[in-house]
Amino acid sequence: MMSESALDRVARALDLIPFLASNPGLSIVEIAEQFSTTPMQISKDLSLLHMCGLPGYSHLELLDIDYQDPHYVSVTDPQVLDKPRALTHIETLALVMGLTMLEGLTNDQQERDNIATFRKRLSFMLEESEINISPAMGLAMLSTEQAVSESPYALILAQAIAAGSATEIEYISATSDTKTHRVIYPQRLFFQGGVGYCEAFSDDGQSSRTFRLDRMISINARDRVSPDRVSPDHDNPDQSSDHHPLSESGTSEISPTLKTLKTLKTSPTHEVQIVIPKEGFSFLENHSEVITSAHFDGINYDLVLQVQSGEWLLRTLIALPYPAAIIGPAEFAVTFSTRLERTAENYKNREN
Amino acid sequence: MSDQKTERLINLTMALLATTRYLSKGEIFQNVAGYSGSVETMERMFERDKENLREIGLRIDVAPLDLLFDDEVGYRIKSENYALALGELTPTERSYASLAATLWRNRILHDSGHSALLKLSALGGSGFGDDFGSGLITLENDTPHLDSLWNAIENRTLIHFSYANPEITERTFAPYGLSLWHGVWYVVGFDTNRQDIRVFRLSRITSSIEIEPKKNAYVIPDDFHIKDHLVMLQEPQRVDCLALIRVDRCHALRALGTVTSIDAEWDQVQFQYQEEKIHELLWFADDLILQSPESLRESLSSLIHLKIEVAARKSIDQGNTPRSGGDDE
Repeated sequence: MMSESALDRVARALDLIPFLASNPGLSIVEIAEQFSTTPMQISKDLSLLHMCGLPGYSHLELLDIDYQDPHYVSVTDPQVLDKPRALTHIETLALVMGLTMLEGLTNDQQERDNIATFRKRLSFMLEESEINISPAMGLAMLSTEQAVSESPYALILAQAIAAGSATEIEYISATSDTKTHRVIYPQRLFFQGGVGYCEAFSDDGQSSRTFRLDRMISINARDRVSPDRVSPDHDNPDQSSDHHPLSESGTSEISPTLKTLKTLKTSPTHEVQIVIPKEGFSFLENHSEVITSAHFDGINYDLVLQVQSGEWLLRTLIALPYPAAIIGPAEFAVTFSTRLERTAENYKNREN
Repeated sequence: MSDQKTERLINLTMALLATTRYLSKGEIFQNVAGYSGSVETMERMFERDKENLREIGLRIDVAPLDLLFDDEVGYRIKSENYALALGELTPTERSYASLAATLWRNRILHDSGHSALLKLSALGGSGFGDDFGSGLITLENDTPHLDSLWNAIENRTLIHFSYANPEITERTFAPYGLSLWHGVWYVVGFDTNRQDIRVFRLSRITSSIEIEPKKNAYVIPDDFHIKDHLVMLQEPQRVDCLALIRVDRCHALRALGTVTSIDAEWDQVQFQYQEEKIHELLWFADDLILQSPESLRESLSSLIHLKIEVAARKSIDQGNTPRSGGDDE
């Protein structure tokens, strides 16, 4: 652990007392976890605080802390340190910006209103605090609007995870362009590249999948509690996961771009060589994890990709705003051309 | 810092917080444990202590001890300036706070969110994490450079870096603000070479951020508001579109619009779409035929034919690219 700054210890000590006063009975190990330090450091802090107090410094004026039993720490008399210190400017910013983002993770109007009300209470503190006049970093300098793509069901899924309950979803697959109804047991929720994902067990409890939040078109929370199940196996190549980019712009209306994720299970099965023009710079950024080599000749990028789904690659290349060529393997190139020609056929008949 | 000094600073904080009147230096030196030595020594200790306490965000009020004579001042910390005055939090608010504070992956806001949560926990009451668990969601990609940029903005220091778009250029920049958009951080500020406001995507910064030593080297305009410069936040113009889609296909598009049945093979969908992203409809390939607007239908048709030509030739010439890319500098 890096040595902490000298004043960090004073700040922690001042925060420790009201925290322990409100949360009695924690062990030194648990307190250390909460304060992101070592149990030894917390023990030292408690020993030091034990000697502090108000002028007079008799047993009536000293902080009264019981920490003889390392498994049960309590503060009997916090003296004047019974209340936590005011939030700093940046602490308030972290909460306000976080709450701004949470508003976008639910389509429940009541919930949005509740979050907004709480956010405004905190924002008011930010604006009113005399300490924070002319802050070095203010809300006008920060934006977290559209920090992630629209994910109106994220909070419902988070609640289902906390409750261990099932959720019924209507889901559109990105690769096969099919719609399915599923009952899932959400296990983990995370965002990558601005796109939300939910890792969940399927209803049969036999497999885990990762679902894109923006491909859930309806959701119903269920009361059923998740049975004990094995942890999701991220290394199992047979488990499918839906992480197939649709376009490269990052703001598709159908579905945002996402990176193929290291955190998701991937089983690259096809090596494909393609050429895209230099305008496709963002393709490299958005799909960096599937690109195994890249060469730029000043005009075009020559790329080698390792992709799990050939169908995903074909659709992605077709939907790019610029032309692309598949150099190999030959069967991919033929399929690509055939798909393009069939699409072009649709536009030959002007009566469509 | 020695235990002795840490102890003295805590004792000083408690003494200044407990008093209902301003304390003179003499009273502080006499009553607060930890002050010793000559008056000059104690004066120096006290000056450093005040500075240290202010560094951790404590506000020490100073006022004349005698209303008629202001040659001696006293000190106190008012409880209303010290304590978190957020009132009682409901269990739901505690859950929201818990989730909001743990969203961050970048060091600055992650650490600040965590310490904020500790303070809120000290307000009492349970419920943190009850509704949503804790640490469930993280919203960002990895965020290199964010610490440097944050510090540069706070100190108003000029910075230098290399930027790829895709050609690499050297930039000198006065950063004004930061935006997290679709999981990626952007910095907005004044490009001293271009003499204009620019937006840079942090992931395209290819060098380390070189920070000039001079603080307050620039002033952020009073009327600066970052959202004014983020074109991606502006409501996009959408056009009315009509398309034929194969039955039981194009589900993502069906969810966006109104679908009517045409025959056993085709449905028709009416929807709105951004004109500049119309190429995305090609994702549905031959399962979709855009009918109108006519101009976009023709654009799609031209793009497909260009793609067919390039796919057959397996090479791209300059001039084969119908539009330029790049969403920022």
